[in-house]
Amino acid sequence: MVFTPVLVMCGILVVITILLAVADKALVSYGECMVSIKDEHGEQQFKAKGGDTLLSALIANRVKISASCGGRGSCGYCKVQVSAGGGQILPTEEIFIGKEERKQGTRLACQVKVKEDIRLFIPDLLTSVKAMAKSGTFDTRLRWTFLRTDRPQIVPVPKKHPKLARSEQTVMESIVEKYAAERGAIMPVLQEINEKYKYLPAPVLKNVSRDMAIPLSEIYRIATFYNAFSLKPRGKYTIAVCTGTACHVKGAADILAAFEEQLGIKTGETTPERQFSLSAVRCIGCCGLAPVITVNEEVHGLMTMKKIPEIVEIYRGK
Amino acid sequence: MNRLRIEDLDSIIGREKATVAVRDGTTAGDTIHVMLCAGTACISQKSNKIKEALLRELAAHGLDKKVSVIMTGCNGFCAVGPVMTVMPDGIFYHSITEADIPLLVQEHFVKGTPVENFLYRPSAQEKAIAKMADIPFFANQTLVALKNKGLVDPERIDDYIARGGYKGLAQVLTGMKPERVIQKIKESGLRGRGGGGFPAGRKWDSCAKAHGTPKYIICNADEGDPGAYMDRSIIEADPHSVIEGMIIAAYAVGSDTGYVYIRTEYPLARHRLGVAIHQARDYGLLGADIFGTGFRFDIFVKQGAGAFVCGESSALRASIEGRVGEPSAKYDHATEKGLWQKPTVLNNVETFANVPQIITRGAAWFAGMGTEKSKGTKVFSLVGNIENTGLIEVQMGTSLRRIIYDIGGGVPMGKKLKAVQTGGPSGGCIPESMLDMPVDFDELTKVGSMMGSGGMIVMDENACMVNVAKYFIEFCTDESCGKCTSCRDGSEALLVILERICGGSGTMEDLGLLEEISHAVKEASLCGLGTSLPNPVLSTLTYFRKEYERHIVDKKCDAGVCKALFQYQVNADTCKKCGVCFKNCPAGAIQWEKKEVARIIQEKCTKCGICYKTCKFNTIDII
Repeated sequence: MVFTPVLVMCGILVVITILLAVADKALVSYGECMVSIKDEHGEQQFKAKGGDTLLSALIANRVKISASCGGRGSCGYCKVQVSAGGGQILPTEEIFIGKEERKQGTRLACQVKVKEDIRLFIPDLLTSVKAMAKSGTFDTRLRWTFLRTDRPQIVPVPKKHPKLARSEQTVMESIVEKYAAERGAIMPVLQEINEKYKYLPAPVLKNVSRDMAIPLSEIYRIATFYNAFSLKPRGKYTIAVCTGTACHVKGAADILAAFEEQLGIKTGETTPERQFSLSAVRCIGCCGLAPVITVNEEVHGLMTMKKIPEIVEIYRGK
Repeated sequence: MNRLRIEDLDSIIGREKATVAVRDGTTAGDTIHVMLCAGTACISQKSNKIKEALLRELAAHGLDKKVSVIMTGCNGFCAVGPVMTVMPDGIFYHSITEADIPLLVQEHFVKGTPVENFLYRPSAQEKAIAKMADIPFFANQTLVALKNKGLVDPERIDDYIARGGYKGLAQVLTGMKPERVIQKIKESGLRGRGGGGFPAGRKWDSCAKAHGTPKYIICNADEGDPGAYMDRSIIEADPHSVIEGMIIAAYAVGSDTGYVYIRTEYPLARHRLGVAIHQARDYGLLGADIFGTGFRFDIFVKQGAGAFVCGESSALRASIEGRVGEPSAKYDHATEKGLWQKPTVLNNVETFANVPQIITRGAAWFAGMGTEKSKGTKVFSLVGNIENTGLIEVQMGTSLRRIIYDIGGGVPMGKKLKAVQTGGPSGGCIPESMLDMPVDFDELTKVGSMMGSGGMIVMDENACMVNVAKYFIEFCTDESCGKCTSCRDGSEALLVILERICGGSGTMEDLGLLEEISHAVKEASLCGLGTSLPNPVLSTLTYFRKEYERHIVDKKCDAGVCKALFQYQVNADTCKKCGVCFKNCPAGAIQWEKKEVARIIQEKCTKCGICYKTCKFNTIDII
């Protein structure tokens, strides 16, 4: 017979199982254990037969607890917080129980055997979901809006914003306020912020984004598209060398190189003490005076190599 | 509020009659007006300081009652700034400094003799020309858009009204139906001055007929072309002409809101425009119930933020709407769905500045100037290697030669003219041999260039055409918004090839490749920037192919611009052994002893060109 070894093995396993079950019944007796429960509705106690699972004891005593898999340890719903008794956490529970929960003594009721007196707390799942929704980390409304035809206005969840100093806050608000009625107001708002700070500071932009209800990504896109805006701090004076055609023909490239050398920075950079920024600009319309530079809004025409140190000196002390 | 009624225009004209007479030079009275230029260029040459000094000196001589000093907009002759004209005699002084004022006041205003030193001289040998009207630079121009330049204080609305300003508006509002206004603009043949040359009348007509309210009027003052500053000067010199033109356009199409989109790089123009709008509102020329006719219109200034592409109409609109200034496909005409999807008329500064005069002087007068298809005048900024750098206005169809030699005074230092670049970065280079062509929209397009907004850059023999093409492509690579692959990557590819040629490693195949890429970019790009950016490459390839070939085959740049392809060398025969080059060389690359011919050590030379420019005897050669 080919099946003989298989049958023999099966027989041995069945015998061992029966032996173990009988031994458990006959040799080990937990007797009656006390289960004390604390939940939203108060405290209650009942006696349970030792050796049963906690879940079956709870169900037998009509304690509300959800368990959709029926005690197989696969749904993870029957979480309870055990404060005394219950033994060590089992490998079968580990995948359901997070670090934080483990600290609180969370167990799956279906996996806990009642062997001694147990004290436990049953958290209200619904309450905790509500608390989550309130905390702002999870918006329940977002999940079902698409089902509804009359889409409710989604109230933006307040996010944490970098706090601005009070004075800065008022300045920012007054700028936003000033253009509030205007269409396409973001451009003048950014222009004024850029003028005030000489660049667009990130905390201010985040607040503008909130106050004007324009996504930060959109503002960032505008801020990086236009040459007039900078996300990096700029110097008190921006030296802009005109590289328009007329100036180019008359040697603007050399002038720019000379300024780089004089200030020790490259085009587009700012000196460490934030006195000067250097930039190249396309035609400021003073072609009659080529090559031309501007320092902030002041125009200096007919530039020569000689004039460069002089001009830097004038503004260095200012 | 000092709301004006139509009759008030005449009373202002009456009141200011004497002033106008003085400034026109038609009176022989005692009053003198010093018209001191306060355009951006002259202010940077300290014309504000000159004004203070003038007032001080005049007061010291007790002349402050008789002589008044008026700060005007750009006079146009920027090359010799700061400039001033003494009216009614029309004596033109230039290149004055604060220190010259005491002498000037003493001689001219006290003694009554013009100071020879500050008068204009075409060249050192010729006699000085005292009167502005006699100077060829001014005498050869025809002023329409710039009619009031140097004659009015741009920050004083009465000056503008005194010269017939807002008369056209009054005429339109009281006696003309909107259709009649559009008809008149059509008859005049006015074409958009911003570059495209689209007939303004047709644009207005299509907007007037479009459904949807409100309608918008936009004035494009985002003048980004390098080497062009017409719009800036018009706004700085005569902002009310633009405002009046916009109001007339608004009436014609039925709009109540206008925007002026102006560059952030033009602070002075922005200031003057702001002042002018404020004054116009105060007089009730903007706002509700203009001239008591029930018509309402107001203008708001929108500032650009330094993006060249925002001069393109759809990008400009996006920028006003508070978005990124990227052009969009024009499935709908802006006149039907423009700003905020409403019918919009978008015209250039100069176009609007022409409108009031077309109304007052008639369409026939305007159409009488210019060529068959391009009517009227055009303002050009004449810059680069030219004697009389500045702003000029000539009739359409004037030949390039006349512009450059008669008005511009030719190329300085006796150098040869090589090419004229028109139309900004989208234009092309026109060689010397074609100087006799008449300048109008169609002729320029025919030779592969374009009118553009009117920049005219003159290049002498020291300009390398390959480098010029490279410069413009570099500009467009920078300024391409990046939306179309063809423009974004095509310009980059062109730049790489041009850099290769300028660096001495180009091959003859590169020329074919340049052409191929250029055509592809032209075909596949969405907006005007992309479709015209290869123009400088194509036009230089057509007219200056030899120069490209010399760069590639002989590895030489005869103009001495592409640093890898030439050397400086001292001509031993003509060297005067003065040692100026030795003293000026920043790289220490020149060997020189007293009474010895200087020698350039090529290994050390950085080719900065300082020796070449400082040598008074032209003994340094480019080989």
